[in-house]
Amino acid sequence: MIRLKGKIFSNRGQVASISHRVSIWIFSIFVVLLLAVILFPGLLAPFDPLELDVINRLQAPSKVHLFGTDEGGRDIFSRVLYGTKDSVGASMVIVLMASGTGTILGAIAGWFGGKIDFYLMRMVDVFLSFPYLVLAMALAASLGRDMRSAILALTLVWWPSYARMVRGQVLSIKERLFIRAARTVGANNYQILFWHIIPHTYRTVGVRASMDVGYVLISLTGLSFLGLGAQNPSPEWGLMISNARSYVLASWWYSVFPGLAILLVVSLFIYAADRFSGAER
Amino acid sequence: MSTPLLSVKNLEVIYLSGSLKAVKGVSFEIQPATCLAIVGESGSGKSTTALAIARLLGNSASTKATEILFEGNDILSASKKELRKMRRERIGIVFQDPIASWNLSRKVGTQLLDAFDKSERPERREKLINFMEKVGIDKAAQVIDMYPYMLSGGMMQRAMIAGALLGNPVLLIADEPTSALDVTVQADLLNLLGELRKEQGLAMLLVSHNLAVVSRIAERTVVMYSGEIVEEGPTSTLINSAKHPYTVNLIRSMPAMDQPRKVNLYTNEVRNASSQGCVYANRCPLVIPICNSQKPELQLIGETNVACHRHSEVKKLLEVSNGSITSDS
Repeated sequence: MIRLKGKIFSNRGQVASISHRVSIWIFSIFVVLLLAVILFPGLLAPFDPLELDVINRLQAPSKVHLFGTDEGGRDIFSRVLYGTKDSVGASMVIVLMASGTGTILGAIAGWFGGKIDFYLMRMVDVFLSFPYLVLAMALAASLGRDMRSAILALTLVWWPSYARMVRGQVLSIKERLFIRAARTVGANNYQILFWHIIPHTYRTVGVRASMDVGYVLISLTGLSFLGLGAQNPSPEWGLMISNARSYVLASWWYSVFPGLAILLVVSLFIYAADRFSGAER
Repeated sequence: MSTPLLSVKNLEVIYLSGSLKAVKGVSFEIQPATCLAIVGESGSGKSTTALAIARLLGNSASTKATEILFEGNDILSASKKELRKMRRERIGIVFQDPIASWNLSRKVGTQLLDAFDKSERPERREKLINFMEKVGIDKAAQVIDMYPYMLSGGMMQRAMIAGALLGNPVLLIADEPTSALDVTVQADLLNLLGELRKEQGLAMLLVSHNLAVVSRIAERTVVMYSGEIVEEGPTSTLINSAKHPYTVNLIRSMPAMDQPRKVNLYTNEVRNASSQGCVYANRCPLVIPICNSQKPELQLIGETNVACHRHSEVKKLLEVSNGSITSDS
């Protein structure tokens, strides 16, 4: 979808579109690597992330333990790799669920208008009127302190902004001539909505989703840091930093490496979104 | 006269934003397998009339009429389901801008076949390929699997026409089908529409601002001005002996290569005419006091219906002014 956009719809100069394409390639390679780590963390990780080795506790980074070890002697490099699934993977799932729900509900609101629109959008207003992180914390705490409830809470908090954005898009798309043309060949509401309208929102939703993977990751690790998400001994990044609080002065590597992992992933996703939305203009 | 295929009586359309009355009491009939053209300048309500007949105006406009009968069924009271069936199977519609008419992210064939049941699609697909070849698309079997942005404007419009014919319609509504295309393609497409019409026994409602186009295809012509019909009749009679000053001006404003333009296009602007008088009174070169106070009714003069108080004098007055009517009042 995004590649199509660069090729066909971008009316910028050749140079811009080449550098755009290069950054898309870099981003795609990065995402493929991330997915590989999420699906097969064992390929790269030298140690079992959960195996205790108390003799080697809190070792500084070395050739054997690239990122050092934690208070249980577990290899932090392996834990960071295994934690990708719990942190980035879960963020992606949250964004997928939130953007999917938001797109469908927003499109329905925009297309049908009237009462459906009114009630859906007021519901969205209710969600958006809370500070999202506070709302997510409250939901996660009340649903139970585990990963599943953190994912559910963040999805619930995140879909309304997609619904509002997509609704706005649909309002402009539904006035376009090809919608009228689709009606003239006898297409019904369902067909027009799912085949003619929603595909035209993929572009903005895609840009937004890529950016949101970054923001959701921060929120999710934040929830885990506060003890509302992943629970020990899971190698989730936020939880690792939380555990590292007691050792932050003596063993800097314990908190720094999971933190760097968060920094890297968040900035790459947000940078990518910035490039994509730049090409859209 | 046989029963008309489409009969429209007192059609009124009001655009709700700004409560603009775009069409004010328009009536006409289309006989089976004939072509009726609606001509007029921009804003005269001709496209609105065409869209109102297909009930495509949506919620932004309110449509009223004494009746709109299509094949004996009242379109105004038809349910959504009946409307869909009607649009799919009885009426084909082609719009002005072929590029905007396509969803660029869906293949040509899929897009046109979407509305048919899955079981019907293979058969319709064959039919679509046939029609596409008939409207002059080479390698239709390949084009059907291409995306619309891969085609040229002329090809897109041809494919649109093929799609409009797919359901075996009896009426084709063409809303300025050629004005977004270049002149050579225009001529091709017009010939094509003319041929298809004879071949398929189609009736056609052609909306255009171009009298040259109309004179080639349409049997009857309706001239609209400011949402009303000012003159109506057989095309050749209407063009050769126009009785309404607006029609005369419209004919004279057609550019010709070897003559200077006969109408000064910039002297007059469209203003909302007073509700009592003739809609054209503000711009009419032959305006007399009665034009501002009393609305002329459509009346049958010879072969054409004219709404003008001075219809009998138009021809004479034109000769006096040396073949050029401009506002000199």
